[in-house]
Order: sequence, then C-alpha cells, then structure tokens
Amino acid sequence: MVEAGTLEKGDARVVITDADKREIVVKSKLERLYGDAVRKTVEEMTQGINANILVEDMGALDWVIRARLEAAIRKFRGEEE
Amino acid sequence: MKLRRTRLYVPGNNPHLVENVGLYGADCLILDLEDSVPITQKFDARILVKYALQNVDFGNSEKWVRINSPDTPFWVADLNEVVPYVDVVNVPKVESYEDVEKISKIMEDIEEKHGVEKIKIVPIIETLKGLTNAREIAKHPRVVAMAWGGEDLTAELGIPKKKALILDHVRAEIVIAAKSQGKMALDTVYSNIRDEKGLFEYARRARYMGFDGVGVLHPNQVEIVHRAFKPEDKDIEDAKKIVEAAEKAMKEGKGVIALNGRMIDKPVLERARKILAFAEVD
Amino acid sequence: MPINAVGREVPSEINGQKFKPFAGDMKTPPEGRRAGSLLRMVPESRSKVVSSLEEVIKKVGLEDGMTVSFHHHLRNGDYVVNMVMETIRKMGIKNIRVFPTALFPVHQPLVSMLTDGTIRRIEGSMNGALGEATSYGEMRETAVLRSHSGRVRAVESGEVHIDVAFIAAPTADPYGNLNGVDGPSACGPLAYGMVDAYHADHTVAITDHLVPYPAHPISIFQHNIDYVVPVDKIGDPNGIMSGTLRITTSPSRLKIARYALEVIDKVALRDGFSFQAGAGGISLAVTKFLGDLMKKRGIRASFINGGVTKYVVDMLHEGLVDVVFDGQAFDLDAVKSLKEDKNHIETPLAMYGNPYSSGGIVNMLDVGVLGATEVDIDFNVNVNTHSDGMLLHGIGGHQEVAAGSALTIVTVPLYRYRVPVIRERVTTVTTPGEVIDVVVTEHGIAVNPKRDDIIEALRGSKVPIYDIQDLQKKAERICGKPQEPKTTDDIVAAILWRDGTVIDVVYKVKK
Repeated sequence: MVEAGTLEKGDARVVITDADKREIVVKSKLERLYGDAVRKTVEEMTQGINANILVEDMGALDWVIRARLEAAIRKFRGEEE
Repeated sequence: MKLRRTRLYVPGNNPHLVENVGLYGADCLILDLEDSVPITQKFDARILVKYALQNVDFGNSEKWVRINSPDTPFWVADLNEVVPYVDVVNVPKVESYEDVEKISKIMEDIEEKHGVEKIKIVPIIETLKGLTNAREIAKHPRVVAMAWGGEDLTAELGIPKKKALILDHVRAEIVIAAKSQGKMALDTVYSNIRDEKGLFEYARRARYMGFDGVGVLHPNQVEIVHRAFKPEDKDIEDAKKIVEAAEKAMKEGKGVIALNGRMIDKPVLERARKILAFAEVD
Repeated sequence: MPINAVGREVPSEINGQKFKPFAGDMKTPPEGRRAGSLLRMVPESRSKVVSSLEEVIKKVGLEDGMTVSFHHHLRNGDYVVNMVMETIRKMGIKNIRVFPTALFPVHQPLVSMLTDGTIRRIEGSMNGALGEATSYGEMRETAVLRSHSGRVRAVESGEVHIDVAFIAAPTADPYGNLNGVDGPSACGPLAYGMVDAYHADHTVAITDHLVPYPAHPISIFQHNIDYVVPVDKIGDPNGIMSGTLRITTSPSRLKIARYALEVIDKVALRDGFSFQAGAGGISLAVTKFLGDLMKKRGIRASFINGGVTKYVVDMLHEGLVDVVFDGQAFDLDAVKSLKEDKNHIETPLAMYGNPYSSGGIVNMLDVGVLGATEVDIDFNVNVNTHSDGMLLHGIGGHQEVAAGSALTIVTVPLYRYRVPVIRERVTTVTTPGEVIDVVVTEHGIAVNPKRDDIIEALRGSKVPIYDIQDLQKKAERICGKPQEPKTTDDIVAAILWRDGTVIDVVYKVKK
C-alpha cells in the first residue's frame, strides 16, 4: 500500500493497494459539484494500473489531485521516497 | 531593474497556502521544500510544487523553490522535479564555490534535457565555513543574490541567536561578498509576524546595511517591507535630476555628466537609478 | 408560471396565498392599511405570571393550524423555540406554521416535527439541519423566506398573521416589561421581537430572570404582553454571545477587506458618513480598518448601523462615530455599551428597512458591506443556497441594506476551495444586481456598469478593476466548471424580495 497527500481542506489523499484489476473509489467533499470531474481525472491518470485506487478529495483543485495521484503512482511503481 | 525586496516563503506541501501565492505582491515567491516540509512528506511536496509551478498564477513575482541542502539525500530529486519550471533555485547551507558548481552541473543536465534557459541560484550562507567562502561563492555566474541564516551559525558558536552580537558582522560580510561581485544581498526573515512596527524598523535597518531585500513569512509583511525600502521623497527628487542629467549628457554625446556644476560619478548614477527603481512602489 | 424581473420563473400562488412576481426594487406599490391584533381587556391580576408553558398554551387557545412566532436574539444558544415547540408537540397540536425571525443549527429538534405532523411549514430563515431537511422535501408545505424587513412588512401588511408570539426575554417583570441587557441570558436589544409583540393576537414572554416591577430599561412594553412564563434557562450564553469575535487572519480575506476599504475611501469616506457593520470575518476586518483610517484622517461618522460588536463599540467610545444603531448585539461589549451609553440606541426592526414605511435606517446609509454565497455576471447575489442547490442560510438584512445604501459592496472570495463564487448565473437570486454596486474579491473588483460615478471615483486607485465577466472566467479557469445542481421540479421554498414579491424559488434536491 502506498499513499500521498493529506486530508487537510483543499487537499486530497490518494491510497493505492495491490489488486488484480483496477478499481477506483472517489470520495469527494464536493461530490455534487465535482464528483464527475474528479473521477475523470483519476480515470485518465491511472490508465493501465491494476490496483485499488482510493481518492479522498477535500475540495482540492484539479492540479492538486493530479499532483497527489502522480506522487502515489510513482511510489506504487517503486520509486524511492 | 528586477527588485527582490521581499521573498515570501510558502510551505511546499500545503496546497491551500500555495494556490493563492500570486496575490500578495511579493517580489519573489519561494515554494519551500526544506524546513517547512517534514521528512515523510518530501516526496509528495516536490511533486506538488512541480504542479504548482505550472498551474498557479504567480502574478509578477519571480518563481523560486528552496530545495533541500546539498548535505541531504533529497536535493537532486528536488532539482529534477522543479528546474524545468522555476526562475530561481534557493539553496540552503551552501559552504563553498564547489557546492554551487556541483548543483550547477546537475541543473545543466536537466536544463538541456528540457530545453530551458539557465536557471539562477541564490545560495543561503548558514555556516562559518560558508561565511569564510562567501566572497568566492558570490563569484559563481549562476549566483544572482546571496542570502543568509543565523540558526546554525550561532549554534556553531554556542551562543543564543537572540543575543548574538556577531550577527551584524555576518550581515556586513554578506553584503560585502555579494555587492563586490555585483550581486544582490538579501537579509533573513523577521519572525514576529504580528509586530508590524518592529518589521518596518528591521527592514529599514536591512536597507541601510546595504541589503536589497528581506525574507518574509506572512503575506501581511510584504507591503510593510516595500514601504520600508521606499526611498525618501527628497532622495527620489535628487535621483531624478541625476538620471535626467545623465540622459541629457548621453544625448549630447558628452562623456562627463554634470549637475549644478558638479561631476557625477558612475556609482552615484547607479545609486540614483536604484533609488528610482525602489521608488516605484504602491 | 410568470418570469420575474431577474428572469426567474416563479409561482403566483404559494401555500394557497397569492404573490406577485418581483418587478424591480420599489416597483410594486403597497396596498391597504396596517394590520392589527386583537383588542384585549386589562387583566384582573397585577401579575401576568403563568407557571408553565403548557398552561399558557391552553390560556391563549393555541389550536391546530395556527401560527406561532419567535425572535432569534438568542441565536445558536436559544432554548425557547425547542422548549415551546416540544410542548406543542406533546399537547398534540398539529399543523402549526412556525414564523421565526431565524432558526439556527440548535433548532435541529424541529426536523422530526416536520414529518410527525406538528409543523406544516416554516416561514423564516433556516440555518443548518432544517434547511437541509427542507431541501430534501421533508416539509409538507412550501417554506417562505423573507429578509428581516420583509418579515416586518409581512406582519404589518397582514400577509402573515401571528396567533401567538413567544418572546424570549432575558429580563422581565411580572407585568410584562422586557429587556435584553440584563440577566444570565442577556442578548442586547430585543429589536426582532418588537413587531411580533405589537401585532400578534396573543403574546407570551418567556424569561429566566424575573425581576420586581418595573423592569428597566424597557425594550418591549407591558401593554403588549399578555403572559409571562418563568423557566430555568432560556438559553446558553456561549451560543448567545459569540465570545471575542476575531478579525480574519486569512491573508486572502484580509486582502478583500483592504480592497473594500480602498473603495470606501475613494467613493464615500467623508465627515458625517454612515455605514452598516456586520459580524462576518471580512466585515469585521473592514470595520476595524475603517476605524483606523478614520482616526488617521480625523474623520467622524454620523452613525453605524449594526450588527454591533466590540469593534463598533470601540469606535463609539473613541469618538469616531456619533451614534450606534443597534438591532443585534454580537458580544458582551456591545450589550454593556447598549445598557450604559445613551448614544448607543436600540432600534425596533420596523425602523430598519421596511420598504412600505416612511423610511428606514437603511435609507440613510452611505455604505453597506455585505457577504454572499454566489454573485453572478448580472451582479445578482445568492445568500440562501449553496451551489449544489441546498438551502442552508437565511436572508438576514441583505436585501434592505443593499437596496438602501448609497454604496453597496459585496465582499467575496473568487472561489471557496474548489467552488467558484462568481458565477454566470447564481443558483438562487436573493438580491438583484440592480442594487449591488461593487463586488470585491481578493483578485480585484468589479463595478456595476450603471455606476459610472464609482468607476470615475476609483480612477488612479491601486485596486485592480475588472469586468465581472473576467472575474467569472478566472474563477472557472481555476476551479473548472461545476456540475449543475441535481434538483426536481418540486418547489420547496420561495424567496421573497423585501416588498413581498417573489424573487426566486428553491427546488427539491435529489438525495
């Protein structure tokens, strides 16, 4: 399991755990306004990653979510912290 | 003339603080990867900062990143992420010309790979060794300004920072080292963010010491420092006259600049230009 | 359904009552005479004290379908609304219309009364759980929201008739003289309760501080009060008073306050000017900065209308303002000053901003600084719903301050977290753009194009001025376009303009 980001307001936390196929779970504080947008970003950035991907969005801007996803993905792929 | 009166430190792993940095009118904005980021967040922070450099509106401010110092395992990774998108790399605990050169070499590879122009370096002198080598460090072509910090220095000397009498000497040394190479000298931060009057006096003192700017920790400090660095009206008037005289002399093809029957030397003209640059503030 | 002057489709009938569509501020003249309450006979006894709520409810003859009213001076510390409504529920009285000046999160117990038949509808501001329940369609009838002054107008015009007014009284005597400045639950003025005391058929004061006759000072006079019920506690002082209100420390919010100050300075600041103060973080900062600037310039204001806080009281005591008008006190400094300083004047709410009167305080205001949930490119303001359609806030005095002030400034961040505040179209119109002059954000300001004079006055100022469309685009660029609210066609609440016309409606939100 790897994780990136925080649960502070305006941030997002990404947790990736091993699995046979990709499964995405998005929990967004702004589900009614940006749930679809967050899922689209996660979908796009995790192409080809067979793992459970959990994104908890605390009202983060898109680039913040992308930064947290990239950090988690790179850790998941074995990059040293 | 590029001013660096204020450089605002922003913790690199806090998106909420980072996203508004462009609003505060600081001359330079420093996304910090060093002291404000705990070791467990270094990885996340450098990636967040990479995205911030590309997505956040920095307004007219110069984009800086403070990387981790060359004696940590983080600095090369920091450079790899940020160099393609930054204006200035701020390097803590620089101790020698060789330190700068070592960093410069790594930056060169990244710059080449990404096809970006040469990025500037502002070293921070924080040790006795760094201080003794300051004049050499200032010679490095990438170095555009020199900053300093008193924490490690006073610890090395075994004296409490707040009472350390040596710091004014350190300040003088930094100014001399930087200015003798035509580089800017930048004073350290004033950490009591509630004390507006104290900050104003601190910044005034830095200015008269020969510094070109100070570090700030809170956006509210920016305007106060800019006010402290604003020259007096009388000096602005005099400077205008000197610069006008110089322009007139140039137009008329005269080699000598004269004002009211007195010759104006080059450093005096330079000072006048600088006063006018600092005068253009809110 | 007709389309009103801000382009919204609104019903002409709400809960079986006819309403006109909003036609513009001051475009719908009033009709008829002021409504009155029952005449009554002087009581036989020299004491109006009744020992329990149940007994008093029997005495006033409260029946199914009637209307009960409350004031909100005790804010989120109020015990009275829950206490009275719980008694009504236990007595098996049904279908009550609740008519508060505002309700707060502390009134969450009323949510279950929406479904058990005790309450058929609420006409008043609902902050928190009640707003949420209303949004999900749990209220049987349609909620009606009015501004403070709109509510006064509704009572005076007979649009709403109050059967029983329950008036929380921090101090009362046995013959019904009331004030809010003394007692363990002191709240300052009783401004919001005055209209109800004059116009309800029956009036009940509820107090936890019964003093010998005559209580003094007097805010609500004995001849309007029928009964006095002593109870242990009418409220929790921690929820009534806000403690020391702190100016925002957020650098971006402070930036908004500084821009607002600059606009006031360039457009309206002069000796004898007046302004509306509030208790929000930005509003507090503007008040404080304005006080500092006035001191520096040697300028004195004629009056401040509040929303009174320590910051306003300090200005009064430093001689920066001649008079403070007080409709609501937020901290103990304000309560103390109201009690002791003759230049700190308690104002009945009827004097605030009723458009169908001979003129309110708002009509004498030079500057009003207001907040918003959303503002759109037509300068329309929403303070009622969130961008996802949820009804979560009341109108307060927003409409009348905006309509009355010579310079109306709305201070908002460009976006909150990821949610844009400057929108193409607000989710709900509370206040029309025609009465909004300047929108101030941390990125810069936008001036309503019809106010050339303000644009002229701001020439040479440091504040960046944008077209409001550019601010909207900037917000959308930073945040991305949010999804549209998921609502149904069912109307759960009507938003009335202060003159009683319908300015917008709120639709049921899908769970």
